[in-house]
Amino acid sequence: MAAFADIQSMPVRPAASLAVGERVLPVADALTPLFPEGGLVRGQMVGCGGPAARSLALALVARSIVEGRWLAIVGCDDLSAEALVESGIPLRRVVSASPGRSLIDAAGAVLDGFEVVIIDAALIAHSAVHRIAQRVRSRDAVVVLVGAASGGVQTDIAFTTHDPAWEGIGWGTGRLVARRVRVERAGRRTPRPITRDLWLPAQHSAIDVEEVTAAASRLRMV
Amino acid sequence: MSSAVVRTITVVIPDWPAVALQHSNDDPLVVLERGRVIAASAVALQQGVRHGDRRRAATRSCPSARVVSRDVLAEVRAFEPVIAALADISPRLEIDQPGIVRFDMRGPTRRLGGEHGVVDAVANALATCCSDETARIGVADGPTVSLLAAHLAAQAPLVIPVGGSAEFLAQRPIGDVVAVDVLTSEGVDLLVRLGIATIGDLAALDPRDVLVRFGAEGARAHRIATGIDDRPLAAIEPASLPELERRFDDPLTTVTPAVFAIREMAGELVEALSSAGLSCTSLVLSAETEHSEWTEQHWYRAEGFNASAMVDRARWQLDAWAAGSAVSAGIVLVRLRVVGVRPDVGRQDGFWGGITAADEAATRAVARLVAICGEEQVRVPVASGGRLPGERCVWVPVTTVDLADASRDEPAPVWPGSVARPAPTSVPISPEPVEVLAVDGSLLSVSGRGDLNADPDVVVIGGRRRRVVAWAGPWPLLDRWWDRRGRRRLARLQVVLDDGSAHLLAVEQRRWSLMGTHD
Repeated sequence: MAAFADIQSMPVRPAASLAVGERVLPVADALTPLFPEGGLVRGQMVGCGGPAARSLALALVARSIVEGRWLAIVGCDDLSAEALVESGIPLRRVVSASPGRSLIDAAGAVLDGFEVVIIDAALIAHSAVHRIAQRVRSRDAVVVLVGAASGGVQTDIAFTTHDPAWEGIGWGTGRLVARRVRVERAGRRTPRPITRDLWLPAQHSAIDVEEVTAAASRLRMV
Repeated sequence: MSSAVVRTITVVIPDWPAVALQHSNDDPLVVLERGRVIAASAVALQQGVRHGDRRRAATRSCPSARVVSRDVLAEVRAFEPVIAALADISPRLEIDQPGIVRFDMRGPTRRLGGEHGVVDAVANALATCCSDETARIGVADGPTVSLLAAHLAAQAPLVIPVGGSAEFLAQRPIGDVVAVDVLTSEGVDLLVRLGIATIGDLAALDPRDVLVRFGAEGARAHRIATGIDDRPLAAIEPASLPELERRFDDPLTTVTPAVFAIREMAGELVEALSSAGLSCTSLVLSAETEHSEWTEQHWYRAEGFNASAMVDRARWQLDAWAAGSAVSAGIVLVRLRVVGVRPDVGRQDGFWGGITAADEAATRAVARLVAICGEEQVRVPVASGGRLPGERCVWVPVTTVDLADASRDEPAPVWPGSVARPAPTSVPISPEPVEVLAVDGSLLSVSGRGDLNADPDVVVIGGRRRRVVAWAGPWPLLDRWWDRRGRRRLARLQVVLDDGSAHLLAVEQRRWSLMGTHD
């Protein structure tokens, strides 16, 4: 009984709800069904693979950057800055680095100062994965690994894009307008894979992610 | 006010970035920065290379040219003998940038028997350390006018008499104020369109009107135009200005941690000054080793130093110093001394009022990243203009922009003639050749009228053959038709291949290349 009184007299900690707010970075509405946690969890590595890996990576981080966080892009030298704009990412909080041989040092510097980091998975050698994962955990950043995850990089969450289908383009007519793609979530933290069909990019939306609805899937060539 | 105008001598070595790197006087050297010629050796200039040319234009004018990219470190290092030679005449040198140095003439004038004595001494000192035709010497009231005088000086030094600035400036075209960093070229364009063609015209305006229309910069330009060039030179009134130093118990054997320490100090200094409404324009940076070897240098920046600009200067100076033979032990002390300030005319803060903790953390990390990866390897996206992927926004080295400048945000509107969104997510850094084949295996071509000679069937990218399942285009583009050298004529084609990948291809002069990939 005394013990129970003790517990009762302990101050109530609203930590659970508050901590979730701080621990989780928001993602676009269309992507939330893929996140039982509600968004990107700090300290985790997220992989993006498949034919729409880059578009997905940008869509994942866009909301966080809009809200005032900074994005570092490591090793994706050929990433188009215009694609950032179309994903709704404010350019002024984006920095890109080509670390060359000093990947570990550069990753350390980046993780100290940036809350969201996109790294080209092809850069990361087996031996480096562990060290970077440790840094990510201790710095509370979110790292998105883009591209061939075939190197066996074990991420907390692994997104794979499948079956891209472009709309709006025909045989010598129209142009690329929107792409339907199936996104599957697997990985260490996902006991059962989750699958969603998305528009990535969608026809008009700024954030470029939209659920495939009955109406949208009737989109015709323009 | 004019009592504060200081008689100043300025030495300019034109094309220093090239002079510093050239092997000999007949080395046809061309120095590029961000794709444009910023300096060239005398031989190259004689053959018609112009500042602002692109690489191709420069090599056309001077086929034997040796084209290199800018190396600020080498420039700083090569400038050290010049500084050393001049330091015998005046210890208070102010260095604008490598290639430009100035000092207060008053002391040396008394010592060396008049201004001519000083000018002769400077010319002699320069003759010992660089070939004598290159350096230009200007003397005038105030640092800015003397810089302009030096730019305009021929072989012989140009001496503007005391009180003669306004008269000297009156006939000069207004564009000269850009050459000495008083106004931006946009500001000057506006003045020209308003009918103000010479500096004399500017001086004739009511100073209040100029202030209202052109702000603090314009007011300063107006004061200079009327001969009141009263920016204090570095090291004139060091009293009461902040100074920070840091000692290291363990001597630092590499430069990077010293620069890192300076990064923190610079942040403190800038914060202290900005809370007093000031921004630092002149800075003395010094460092000492365990064996009491010493480096000290003045740096000047007209628009004021932010922290990252201070860090840049620190790295240039310390790297050059450490690479020289003068250093035999670890660094035990670094010191930053602010010697010149001006009122902080303010900068637009972000929409939500200022700089957040995230901004600061990122800015700090960027400074470290630059130290790790190198200046060219850390880039930020900025809005540009153009119709091809990779042209509307471009990546530029982070050291060339102000990270805290919120106006960098938004890209230019889409130009007519661009392929509509979505933009490719990947744009190859250098053009990647591809093959586009018709059913019969022949290479596809686009006629002058912009028609394909057959339907595309197979695309070969990086050696991989893929069948085309959908395509659109071709969209012809004649870009920069007004520019004989920069004009491009090409046609663009979108293809979706059988693996679901989509690409933007272009054909230019019968050669196909990959312009972008949607991945």
